[in-house]
This record gives sequence, structure tokens and C-alpha cells, in this order.
Amino acid sequence: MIETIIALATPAGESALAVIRISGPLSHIIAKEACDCTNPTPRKTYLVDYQSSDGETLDQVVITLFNKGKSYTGEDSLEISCHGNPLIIELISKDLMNRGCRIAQPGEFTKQAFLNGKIDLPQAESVAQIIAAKNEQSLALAQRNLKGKLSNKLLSIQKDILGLQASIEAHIDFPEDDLIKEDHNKYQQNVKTIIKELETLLLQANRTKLLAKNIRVVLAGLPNVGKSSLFNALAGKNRALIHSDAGTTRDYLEFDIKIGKYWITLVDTAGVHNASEEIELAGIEMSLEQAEEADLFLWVIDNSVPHPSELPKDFTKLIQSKPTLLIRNKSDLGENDWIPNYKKTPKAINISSTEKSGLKQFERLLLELIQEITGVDAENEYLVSVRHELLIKNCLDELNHFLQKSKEKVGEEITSLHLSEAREKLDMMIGRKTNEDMLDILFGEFCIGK
Amino acid sequence: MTLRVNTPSKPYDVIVCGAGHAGCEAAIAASKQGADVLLLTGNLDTIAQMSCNPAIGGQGKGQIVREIDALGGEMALNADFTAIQFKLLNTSKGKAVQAPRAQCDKKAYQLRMKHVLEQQPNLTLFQSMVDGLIVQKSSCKGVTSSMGLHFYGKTVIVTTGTFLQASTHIGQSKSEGGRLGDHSAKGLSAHFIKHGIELRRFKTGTPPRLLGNSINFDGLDEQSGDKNPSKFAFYDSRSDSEMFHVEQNRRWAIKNNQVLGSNLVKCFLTSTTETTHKHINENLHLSPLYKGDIVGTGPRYCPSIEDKVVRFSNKDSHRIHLEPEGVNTDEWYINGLSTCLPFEIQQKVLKSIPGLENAKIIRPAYAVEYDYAPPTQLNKCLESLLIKSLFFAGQINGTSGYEEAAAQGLIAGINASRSALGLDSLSIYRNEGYIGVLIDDLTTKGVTEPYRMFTSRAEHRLLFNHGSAEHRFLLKSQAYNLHSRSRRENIRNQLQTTDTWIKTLETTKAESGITYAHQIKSVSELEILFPESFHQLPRSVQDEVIYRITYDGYLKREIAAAKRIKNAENLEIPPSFSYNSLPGLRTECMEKLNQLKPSTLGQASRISGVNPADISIIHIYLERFTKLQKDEGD
Repeated sequence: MIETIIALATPAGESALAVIRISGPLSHIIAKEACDCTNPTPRKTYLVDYQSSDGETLDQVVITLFNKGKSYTGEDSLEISCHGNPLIIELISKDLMNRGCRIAQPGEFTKQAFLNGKIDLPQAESVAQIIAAKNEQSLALAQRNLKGKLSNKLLSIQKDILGLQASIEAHIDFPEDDLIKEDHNKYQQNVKTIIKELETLLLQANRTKLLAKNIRVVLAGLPNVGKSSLFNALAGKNRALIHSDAGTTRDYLEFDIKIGKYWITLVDTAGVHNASEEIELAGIEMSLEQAEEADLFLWVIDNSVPHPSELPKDFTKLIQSKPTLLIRNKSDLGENDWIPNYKKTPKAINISSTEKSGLKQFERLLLELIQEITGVDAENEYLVSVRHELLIKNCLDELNHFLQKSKEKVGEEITSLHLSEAREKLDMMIGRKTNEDMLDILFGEFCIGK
Repeated sequence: MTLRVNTPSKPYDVIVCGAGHAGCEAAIAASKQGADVLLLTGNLDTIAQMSCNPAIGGQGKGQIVREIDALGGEMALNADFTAIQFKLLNTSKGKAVQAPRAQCDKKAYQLRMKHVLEQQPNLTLFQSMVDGLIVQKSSCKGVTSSMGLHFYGKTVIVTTGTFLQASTHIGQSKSEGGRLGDHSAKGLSAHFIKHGIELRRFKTGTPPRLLGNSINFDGLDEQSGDKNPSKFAFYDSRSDSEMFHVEQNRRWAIKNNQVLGSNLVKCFLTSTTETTHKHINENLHLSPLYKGDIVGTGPRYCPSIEDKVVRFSNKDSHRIHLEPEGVNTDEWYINGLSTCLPFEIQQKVLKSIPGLENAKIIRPAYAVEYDYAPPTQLNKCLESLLIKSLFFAGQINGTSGYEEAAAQGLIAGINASRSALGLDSLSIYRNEGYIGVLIDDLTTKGVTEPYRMFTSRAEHRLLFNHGSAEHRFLLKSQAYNLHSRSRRENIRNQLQTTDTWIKTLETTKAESGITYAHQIKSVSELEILFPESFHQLPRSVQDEVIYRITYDGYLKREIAAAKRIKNAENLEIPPSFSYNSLPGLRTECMEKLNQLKPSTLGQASRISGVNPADISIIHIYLERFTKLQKDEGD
């Protein structure tokens, strides 16, 4: 039985097109069931809708089928060109796995090609070197991430899962020993904690997507503090309507600018205050939505007013949880230099958008902040490849199964199976742990010996 | 058959050295294959002795015993017939990890096994201690034994248990012997070393035995057996007249569902106290374990009481199980109190334990240290990689436990006899059952402590529920002629009935309007009103049907995963394959592979430190190697 393996053939990140390569016996079935393309002519392209097993159309894609013996790997193969959006790639990959495919090991395609005689025998050496190199690349990525805490985090999660398994296995294999009573709630609590940590990691993984996608910088502030003037100063022209009446910007405005090497989407929102007019209320609601999607806040206040009142609660919360730059606008009209009394004091800067003073320094600060959120060496750190991200998601799925099966009160041999599978996914990224490692923990923690 | 001494022209097919749990299975299996077998033991009175606890089975082990039965071995029947208390373990957990265990009558167990050996055709039983090997051109031709006798055999199976260079320890007192009061096998170790076989030291221990009438059982927790015994053997085809007289009574009882012993004896529970721990801590310096007199590694899952007290100092009490050794003796086994502290301290320790205040020791606790031969020196038929026709089975391979020993004996016995008879060998793979896991672990990973089976060692244990052993090994038992025809028929019928009923329950709707299969998956078995004809099936068939329906999805997943193991298992690595010049292979990995010499790609992949990329590289070169060899051949 040959497994069907998949891999992304184009670089990770945003691009116009991405190619997902499938190799193995499921190729025909996927063409038929996911792409509604029965018995396609090999090597011919078809424009089709890719439908997930839940019946949802994920993307319009171009597929090409290669028959066994006539493909790169020598197996039945299918190439799917989809739009180069990381989300689409992820959804399609995930669906392919639901249909029984497996993520390829580094160099596995080349290996299949060799084993099927697609690459000459004398070339064995170069094939082996390719695999060794790809594996090294993948390890190097993990190594780099080690500094970026990713691998450390995964290693500690792997250890936590081993520990959980040790406890469950101790109770399965030594039923007559005098062990501490099993606390199933605690198991579930521990798994929930692990899930949270993995979700945080995924969020970090999403941060790396900032490299591919624009960074959303949202201007927030009370009405009439000069958000729109700042927006226009940055955008370079009078895009937003500026008016001295409070509450002029009722909708929101977007503009893409480039600061340093980063593309930024600048978002101007309606000023937030305890508005009474319905249309304004709607605008404020929309501002809140925008704020939630922000990668970074520019909190604009009026520096000519002695004690600027703070933003409504929802905003204050958001501002404290995301990177924020406090901009004291209208510095030409007064120097109150107010600082909010938060746990983490945001960086602050005085500018005057009408006199265009302080804008250079503002750009520098903004750039610093962006580098902070995308990582110091953004290209290396936190860079979780699509493969890693999918593996983490697989791992999460297994852990969620664990929780569900625990609730259903099926036997521990089942819940433990899901833990094993979850661990296996981590093993694929950071190195294998064996049953011996689990037993070491087991005998270290439990007094066995009836 | 007369004993053939000094007859190199007329060798036995198989000579088995040692009649413990491994040796007995080896000899019986070999003679069942049609081989002419000689079984040599140092002492006919200690055949199949349970040197440690008087029980067969338990978690991981009970499943092995059922697999031994499914492969035509004797242990299961022997345990069923001599059991004095049955218990199914883990009934609160899922069926995949439930395991039968039985307290057995120690003496009855030995006598019955001895009788089976005596009755076995083509099997010669003889009391003589083996002290050397006859090896010619790296091939084993026979053994030398006490009284200067030479026995010749086409194959030799060594099952010397803990007897190689064995010494027992009680405090400072050290004496030679593989068991207290027994001898030690001295000559053999030197022979092994001479022929290049590496030996290492292990240690194990056993608790004191007490006189029952000196124990005060009042107030101790009683532990009785199950009302409905879960037996080990699937099938017994023998007629009454073929049976040992003791068995005939028992068989009658079993047939009438009144297994003698199912409720016959009770075990009891007590525990150590703070005073116990104080005595132990104060006298640690007298324990040869802590003095450094014992160098061998002991098992972590069966530590001495001094180890438990030291390593788990936060626990103020450890559980002690009191188990009777038989119905015709008042000797009790004190499970959990293994020690090698001096005898006076053992007495002090007992006095501090509730119920044992006035207990009389009739056999002191002791530790035993012995040589074992690291099992990575064997192939998966358990034949030595260094000396042809020499097989090893049991504790000499660094395992522990009667069941693990018996399983190896069975495999070695089948393979030695088949090799002598010119037949193909039998390998059990790790995707087939616990015995496969056992042999694969031993021969590829080796051991760092006495090896015991845990269910967690099996990657796909859901497939290895104890009730399915016969079905799982049906094809193998057919191909290697391990069962009588009637038993084969019986298994085939059962399997068919099981498959048919699974289909029926998957398609038939109960009164509630949903299928039985759906009900089985969602509610407790007891709440389901099965069709009357289902209840008429044998209990074992009902259990298997329900098991396979309950775990349906998981079993499918596991079968697919197990198949992957099998595929990798099919890729054999020839012994002449060299890892040294493979580009891309890390040095650490290369060293490990050179040392362990896995025989298949699957085995290589399970060696720690060997990662998937390494396996890919080996796979590529393996392909190149075999193709080039084939080209040369052409």
C-alpha cells in the first residue's frame, strides 16, 4: 500500500499562484471527488472549482493529472495550481489530508522518483544528498526557531504530552499497583492548556504572515483629535474629509503606503466617543471592528488639551493588548505631554500634522514597532513553514479529539491513542521521542512494583 | 527411546538446555513439529518452576499467554488447569487493554508441565547439567554436560534463565546459585565468551515466603478472584484418557463451569508503615544493592523495597500483597517486599507490617545476579548471529517474566526444529501481536534492564486484544502446522461466525429503529436487547463481535498503520550492506546501525536516533545495492 503524499511546490507566503503537488494512488480520486473531473486526460490542464469534503468551494484552481510511470515521482500525480493565498493553501492542504493524504517528509518526492526508477541508479548519491540537504534546511529552520522560542515551546509541549501519556499508561499497564488516583479532569485541563499554547504559537505563525500580507495600522482616537489630518499627511493627499466638527469620519478609510521595506495598510476610523446619533453609533461600531483586526494602533490624542479623556472601555482594552504608538497631535498648539496610566506605557511622540513636524521621527518609531511585532530578524524568526503550521493544526485536531473522547468516557486506550498521534505531529518537526522516553518518565514519577 | 550419548553420527534434531518456562515450550513446540528432541535439565524437580510470584498473566503478559496458546504452546492450558484464582484485569478500562491473570498452584503447575513433557512423543527428558557447547566451524553441534556426557544435536536451544554465573545475595552473605538452594551454571559463560558472544549482568530479586498460619489475616483487605474465570486457553482437544489424573478432576469442573479455584483461594492486602521505612533507611548500608556488591541492573518495574523507600521517600506506605503458593501448602508469597537486606532486618521489617507481626519466614528474600547475553546478537528466529544452529530463549536474553520466556521458547523451539528438519523459518512481526513486539524489541533495540512487556510497547495495541489472538494467528498456525486439524477448523468457524455476526448487527435494526452496531457504539452493552440467537453464541465470539464493532473506526486506522510497518518490514537489509559510505547519513546514526545491524528497514526505523531522513537515505542505497547485486548476478 503506497501512501499519497502532498507538498507545496512553490515558496510559502503570498504569491500570485501556488502549486500543491500530490503523488500517490489517491490522485485520480481527488481529481474526481474534489475537482469533479472524472478521468481527466493526463498532462492536460483543467480549470475547475476545488470543493472540500464538506462541499464547500475553496478556490478556482487549475489541475493537471500525470499517470503512473509518467510523472515526476513515477506514481499517479496531481498538481493543483491555486491562488497564492496562504489561507487557501492551508484549506486545500487540510482537505487533502482529510481525504487520506499525508504531508511529505523533506525530499520524499525525490525519493519516490528514485525508487520508481525515474532517476538513474548512478544518481542515487545526489538524491541522497538532496534529501539530506532538505532535511538540514528543515532542521536549520527549526534551529533558527529555537532561538525564536518556537522549538523550545514545541519541545516543552512534547514533554508535557509525554508526561500525560506516562500517567495514563501507568494506570493502564499497572492496574494493581498502588498509584495516585487518576484525575481525568486534570488530564483534560492539561490538554486544554497545551491547546492554548499551540494556538498562541499559531498566532505567532500568523505574525509571520505579516511578511506576506500588509500590516494593518489603525488610527484610533476621540473625535476631532486630527486622525484624518494625520492620515492625509501620511497618505500624501487629502483623501479623508477633514472638518473641525467632531464626528466627520463616519465610515473608515484605507490606504496602502510603504514604510521601509514594509507595506502597510493605514486605516482611518470614525472617532470614538459616547455618540448619540445613530449614524455615528454605526460608525463607532465599525471602528471597533477595525480595531479588532489591527496589527498595530496609532492612538491619536490632542496635545493642546490639558487632560484628554480616555477612550471607551472596549478600545482601551484593545489598545492595551496590541502594540500601540501614542501620537500627541496638534503639538503646535500646546505641550501637555499626557501619558496614560497603563501597565505598559506606550511609546509616545509629538507631531503636528498640519505643520508636518515630527513626521520623520514618527516614521522611524513606527518602523521600530513593526520590526518588533514581526520579529527582529523577521525573515528567520517565527518563520513557520506551511508544513509546520499544518502539523501544529493536525496536532491541535488530535488534542481536541482527546478532549471529546474523554467527555464520551471511552477507554483510556482510545484517548491515549489521540495523544500519541498528537505527539507524532510534534515529533515530525522537532525529532522523535520513543516509548522508552515515555517509560523513563513513567518510572521516574510512579512507584511501580506490585 | 534410549538416550543417545556420544553419538555424533546420530544427532538429535533439537537439544534444549534448561526446563524452565522457555525450555518447556521450546521442547514441546519442537517435538510437535516432528523433531527428535532432547531436553536437559539440571534438576527434574524444578521443571517449570515459578521462582518468583505464583501467578501467570497480568497486563501485557496475559495477552502473551493467549498468543502462546494461539500458536500451539502449552502455558495457557497449564495455567488454566492449575489456577487457584482467576482475575480479569482492567475491567474498568477498555477491552483493548484488559488482561487475564491467574494465581496458580506452584507445585501443581510444575507437575502438570512435567507430565506433559513425559507424555510428549519424540521428546527425551534427562537430568544433566550442560556445561559446554560443541562448536565446529562457527556452527553448534551439541553440548557437553555433567558426568562428561556429550550430546549431539543439529540445533541447540539455550534456556538457562538466571543460572549463568549466578550468585544470590542476602545481606553480606553471597552464594552461588540461580535460585536459593540451587546450583549455578558455571562452564557455559566461558564457552559463550570464547565464541565471541557478549555477556552482561542483570539483577533481580524476590521477597520472603511466610508460613500462612503465622500471619494474622484479621483486618487485612481480602482480594478474591472473579466468579467467572477468564481462562487463557482457547481450546483443548485432548480426550480424558490423554490427561494426567489431576487434570481429569479439574476438567470435569471446568466443563461444568466450576473451575476449581475460581473462588478457592483469597489473596490479602497489607502495607508498609513508617517503622518499616525507618528500619530500611537505617540499614541501607547492609544492602548489597547500596553497598555496591551487586553491579547488575535491576528492573525498574519491580524494585526492591529498599529502592522504593529511597526513590519515593515522599510515599509513607507501600502496598504488600499476600498470595498463597498453592492449595497443598501453607507457604505464602509476599508480593511487593522483594529485598536483599540481611535476614535479621527482613524479620524486623516484617514485624512492622500489619498482619505480619508474628509471621515466620520459611524462605528468606534474596537477590540474584546473573549473566545474560544481549539479544541484539540474535536474528528474529532467536538464532545466534555468531554461531549457526544455536538458539537462545528466555531470561538469558535479558527478559524477565515467565510469559515472556515461554513466548521466546515457543518461537525458538519452532524455528530450531524447522531448521533441523530443513523447513522454512517462522517470524512473528510486531504488527501481528505482543510476541512480535517482544522479539522485535529484543533483537533490534536490545535491553537496558530486564525486559518486561507493557502494552504501551505495542504501537497498535488496539489490534492485540487478548480475545483475538487465535484469529490473528490463524494464517500462521495453518502455514506452520501449529494446531490439530480439528482446532484449525474450529478457529476458522469461529472467525467466520464473528464476521457474519458483525455484518448482521451492522445491518439489522433493533426495536428502537437503529442498528445494533450503532447501539453498541453509543450505549452500554448491558442495555442492549440482542437477538436471542446472539446470546446463544459462545461468550468469546460475542465479545469479539462487540469489540470489533465498538472500535470499528479505530481498528481500520490501526490496520492501515500496521500495514505500513509490514511494508517496511518486507524491505530486508542484507547482512553485507554497509552503512559506512552513505553520504548524508549522520555519524551518530551510522554508528548505531553498524552496532545493531537491523535486518529490515522497519527495524532500522525504530532505532532511537535514526530519523525519517536517514531512513530515506538508507532506502535509496538499499535499492541501489540490491539492483547492483542483481545486475552482477545476471
